[in-house]
Amino acid sequence: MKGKKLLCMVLSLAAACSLLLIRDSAAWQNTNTGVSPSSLIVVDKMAFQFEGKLGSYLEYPEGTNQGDAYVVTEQNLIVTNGGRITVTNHSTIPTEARFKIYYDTPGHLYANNAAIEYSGSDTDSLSVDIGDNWILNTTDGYYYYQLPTPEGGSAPPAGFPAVSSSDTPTPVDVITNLMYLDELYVNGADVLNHADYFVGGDPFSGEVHVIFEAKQADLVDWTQITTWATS
Amino acid sequence: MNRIRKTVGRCLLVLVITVSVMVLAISLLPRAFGFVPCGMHDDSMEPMFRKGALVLAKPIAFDAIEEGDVLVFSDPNSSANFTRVVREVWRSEQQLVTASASSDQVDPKTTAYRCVVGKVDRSIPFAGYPAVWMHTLPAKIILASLYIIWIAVEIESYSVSKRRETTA
Repeated sequence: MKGKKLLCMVLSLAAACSLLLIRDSAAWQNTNTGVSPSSLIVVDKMAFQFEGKLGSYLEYPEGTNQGDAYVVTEQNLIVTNGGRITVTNHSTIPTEARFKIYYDTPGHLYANNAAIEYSGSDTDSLSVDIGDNWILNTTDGYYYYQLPTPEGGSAPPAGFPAVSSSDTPTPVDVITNLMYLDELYVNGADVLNHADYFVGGDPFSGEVHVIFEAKQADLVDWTQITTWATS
Repeated sequence: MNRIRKTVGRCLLVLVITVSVMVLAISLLPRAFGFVPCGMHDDSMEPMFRKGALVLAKPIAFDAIEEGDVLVFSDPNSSANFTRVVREVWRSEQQLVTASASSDQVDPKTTAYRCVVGKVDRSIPFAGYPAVWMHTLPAKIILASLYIIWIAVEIESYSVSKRRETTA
């Protein structure tokens, strides 16, 4: 009897433990390994997920209509994602990426990219904080993604390395702050009336556009992946 | 009275041993054939699999996954598991767009292939209930308490019989 009792105890304990080996399947889990199907932009074999968008800070003085708007300076125009635009690369082959910022000021009308290119100079009317590893090419005005050279190693290829199935892609900052400065310049001259945000008595509605491009081979053209614009 | 007690005791022993062997067979036999058993915790996959069903999944290569396949996934961050239907396969990104069996609305996010445990090959209705129950905290507490009491009773009856022998 004792032997049977012992066998019974051991068997039942083993059975109970073996039940724990059976997985317990519940409802869908957010694994953080995926992307929102609607937010992933796929062009050929290039795949990016973007977070953050530009808004607008326009004030409408009392008694005026929306046509008489004032741009609000010194405020981050990136209105979501904690005030930053990020890109997550999901491309499974090496991909080069670049972006450019265009904006207008009084006297310039934004049309067909014929606005001012941001270059981070002292006479820019924008202040932009660019994410790490984006390098400005002063020849064409684009910021190119380039990982730093490791100590004692050789420079990595330009752009994002390929993502493998075992990787967890992480967001990369593109722009962490973008705002109009109190000082607005036209042709190098400071034209803003700081107190009223007017220029020569006329209200000013600023527009900023950011264009993001990518390509996967040396000889193909750059492809526009997405754009952001102040609304 | 003693005879009744002994009979009941024997019946209980036989019952426990039989049930234990059956549970061990359900838990371990599928693994011997390369299947991963998974109990359905809820009704998110009805009418395909009812709550309490035991599904058997077999590992599958990414290239073999097709729309409409039912896969078992494991969250690498929490080790939680879930079963979903594949609605789209994003080959170059190795991502899977998934949904429940009862709705066309896809899940809020895709899931990477590396989370795939396997493709559901067959299912056994109701066989997953013991496993689902066993994963709950009350089940573990109840079972642990029962074993502790059982062991305590056996130790006590052994001590009593030893004392009787010594006295005799």
